[in-house]
Amino acid sequence: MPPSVVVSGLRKSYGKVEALKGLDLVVNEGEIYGLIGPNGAGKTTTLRIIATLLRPDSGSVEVFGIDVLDRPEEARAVMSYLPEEAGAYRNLSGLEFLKFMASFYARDESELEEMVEEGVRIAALGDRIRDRVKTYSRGMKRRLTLARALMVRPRLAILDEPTSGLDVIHAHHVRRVIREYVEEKGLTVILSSHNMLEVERLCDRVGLLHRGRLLIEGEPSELKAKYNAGDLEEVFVGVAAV
Amino acid sequence: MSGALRSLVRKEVLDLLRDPKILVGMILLPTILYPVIGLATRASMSAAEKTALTTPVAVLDLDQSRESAVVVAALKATGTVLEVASPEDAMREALSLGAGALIEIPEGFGESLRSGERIPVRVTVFFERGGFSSVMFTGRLGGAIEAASQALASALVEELGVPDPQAVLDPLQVSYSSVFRGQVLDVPPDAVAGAIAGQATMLPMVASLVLIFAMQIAATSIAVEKEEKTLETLLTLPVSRRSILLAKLSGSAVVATLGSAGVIAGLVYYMGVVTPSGAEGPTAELSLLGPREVVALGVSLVAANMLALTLATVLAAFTEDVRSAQALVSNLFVLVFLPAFLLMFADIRSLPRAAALALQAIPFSHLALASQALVWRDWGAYAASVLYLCAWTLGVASVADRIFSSEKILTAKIRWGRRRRAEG
Repeated sequence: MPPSVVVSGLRKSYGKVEALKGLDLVVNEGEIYGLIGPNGAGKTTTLRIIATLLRPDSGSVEVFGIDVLDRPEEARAVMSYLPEEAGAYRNLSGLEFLKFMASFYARDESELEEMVEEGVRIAALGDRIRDRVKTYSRGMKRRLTLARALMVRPRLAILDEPTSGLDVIHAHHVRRVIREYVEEKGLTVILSSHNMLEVERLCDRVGLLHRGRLLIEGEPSELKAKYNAGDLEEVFVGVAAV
Repeated sequence: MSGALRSLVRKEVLDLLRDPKILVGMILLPTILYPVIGLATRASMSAAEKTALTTPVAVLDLDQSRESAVVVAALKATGTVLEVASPEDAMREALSLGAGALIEIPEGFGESLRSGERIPVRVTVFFERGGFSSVMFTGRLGGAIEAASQALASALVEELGVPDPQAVLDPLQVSYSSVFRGQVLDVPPDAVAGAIAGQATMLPMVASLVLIFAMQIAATSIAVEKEEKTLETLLTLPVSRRSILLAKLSGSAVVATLGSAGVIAGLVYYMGVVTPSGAEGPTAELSLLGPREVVALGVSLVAANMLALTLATVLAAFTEDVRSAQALVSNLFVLVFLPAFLLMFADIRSLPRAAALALQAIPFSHLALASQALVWRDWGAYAASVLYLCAWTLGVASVADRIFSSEKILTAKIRWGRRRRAEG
């Protein structure tokens, strides 16, 4: 499979703190790549750089051959970023929020309507979609923001902790939608998560980031076999502790 | 306007107007505040006025002379007068009749006047109630005593055989005219001075309100994106950062204009209610600002407003919640109020050079200076002020553009009293 995302020699510091120390990463088209690692490993920084929110001190990032540092607007048109605590405009209704977001991607009114219809389906909020966002629970907001990220038909979805803080039902819905989109629409996903079970079930490949460096990478089954571990959590704990 | 920009502006306006803090706290409440205060003031003033006008004055005439009769008649012409008869018990009688004051004309009053001497008339005022009616009553009493004194003076002068007593009592008959902007007007100078002073007070006051509205709205517009965690999503949309900035400024300008319009309408209503006859009289002839000047004033207000918006946007970009943004932006209020307040009372040419230069360096001074220049039709000074405002706006907009184009819009954080969090 051709690469969707190519990250080369990425370095990023916040003052004296070196968040990324020359990160290299390749994500193939149509796969779900899981970025795991302890807090402060550099996962969010990596995702934010790919999403054009941050500029690295050095290194390069290409998304479908587009250099995100040189042509950020072009890159943003092919990808969708869902931040860890993504909010939605609390004074708009869920439907208004989806329409607003679709308006930046749709080429005409009918495409906009299709996107919004898709967003409503993904969010699966029923009649509550017409209520103001400020009345939504955390899980409902997450469904809405995930719907926003996927309905615009991106080629790459960058999802930072997509199920963080959600109850089992909402988390299950989110995972099901992600998997469905990858299988049916050929979407490429790069996500970060602290939930090893989720990563193991959802991701095609996993990279363990620790102190700004990629320590190990591979398919979950490969990694478990390589490190003679029962699950990814054991792999994570074993490698990160070294 | 491009489709993306239109969407962004629409979202800004909708989101801001639906925010109860903005809709109620910054638009509806300030809009109805002035009319409510005006109506309440008028109602209480009317009640006080009615009390002051209907409160009688008691008179004890111990002289019963022709002169004291003139005084009593003149007092009666100005309102209710109750005559009391008992010298020993006059005060108690006056109080029991509900009088607000007792005027005692002493025995020998008329005779002493005829012999060219004055003996004092004792006036005792009873303060039985609080409020504004006491002030109004003492004012009315003073006027009544002045009228009685004038009537008595006229009667005495007439007795001397002067054909027109006014020629002696008020010998200077003055006919005023004023030269304003090189034109001779048949308008009393105090009316001209009053109109100019009114303009100098009213315009900076209203303009300051408009600018402060703009700053608060712009600061909220940016900070709420950070507080509600929507900024990251907004910045990853396929739209230029400049469009996002432009939409923020335009949306804030629309909402701030609505808020300002409400407050100004409320303020105008308040002024009309509290001083209902303000625009009547000879000053009606005096047009300080014609239609062209009003348009020019609008241009200067827009320029100052854009500066206020961009300045607040830049500051708010460094905060991470609405409260911090509004607190930080409130520091700018001094730059709006100080020049407006100073220029209400002083002409900039009358200030010491250093103070005048310092005042001119503050961009918001130029809104008041531009309006003053328009009153005097000094178009050169007006243009210089507007250009100075525009130069500042462009400079600050360029800083805002840089912040929006960089990661600073996301990472720069000021949170009062809290340490910056490390990024994960």
